[in-house]
Amino acid sequence: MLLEYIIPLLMAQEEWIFWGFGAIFCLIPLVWFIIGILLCIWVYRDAESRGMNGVLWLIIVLIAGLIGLIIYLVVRKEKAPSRAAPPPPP
Amino acid sequence: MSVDQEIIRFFNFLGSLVCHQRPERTLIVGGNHLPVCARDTGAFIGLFLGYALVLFLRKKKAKGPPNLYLSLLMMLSLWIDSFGQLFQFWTSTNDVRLITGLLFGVVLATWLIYAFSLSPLRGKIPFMKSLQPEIAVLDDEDSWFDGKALFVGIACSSILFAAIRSVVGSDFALFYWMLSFPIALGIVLHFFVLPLLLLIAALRKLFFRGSRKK
Repeated sequence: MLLEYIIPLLMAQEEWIFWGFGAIFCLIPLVWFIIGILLCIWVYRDAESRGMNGVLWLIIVLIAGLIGLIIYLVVRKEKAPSRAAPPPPP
Repeated sequence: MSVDQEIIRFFNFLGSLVCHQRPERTLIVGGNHLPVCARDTGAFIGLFLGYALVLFLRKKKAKGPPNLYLSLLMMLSLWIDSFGQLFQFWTSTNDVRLITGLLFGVVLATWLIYAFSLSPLRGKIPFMKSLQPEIAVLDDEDSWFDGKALFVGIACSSILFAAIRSVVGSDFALFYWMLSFPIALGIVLHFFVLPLLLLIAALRKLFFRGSRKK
């Protein structure tokens, strides 16, 4: 059975298995870590653009993760309307 | 060792990658400890429930995020219980861990799908792209997964909680497999497959962007 082959392989102390799976196991948390960092950067920029304390919200989202993001989305201020160019005279 | 014992061992190995697996906090079903603790059991089962609810209850034309207040409420329940226990204000129970995990998992599923629809990787993740909103706008008030849908999520979580609770302590092995398979699948999907898909999609986007510039 395939499982009878795979499971001993996973539990094996063979070096290439160890390093191969080790690499994957390190890469995967790294992906989530990068996503978390990108999220924090987005929150910082968005907060600053709305006149809020970007650093504070970055720290909150860094610590609280998705809950921090939702709290931020609930409490964030409206964006100031962009100063559009005045309409051309008739 | 028989095949099912090997599979149980493999599931426990998967569970050990993401969970503390403390025996007193892990549900016993079909004579075996589940691969993860009660809270993580709820979270993984809740995730699949959330995906199913998104499939049927999402508003395809809406652009706004899932209802913020209910999302917060459902997520905070897990946070409050976890941190209350961590700081020794109280000791939680497996029932509370299970239900807070279920609620958290349901909301997490909706936000995972919505959040990736906002990112440059929108439409690149195979099992999410058909569920994502056509256009996602964070400021839009028309929720893609509104309060009513989340209330259905709460109701379904309660039903699932009662169902899981009723099989805890049972010796019937089928119940163990019915719970442990989705848990193992959830671990593999969210901790291995999804990050790899994200990485591949990001690299492809960078590669094609680089190719186009030439």
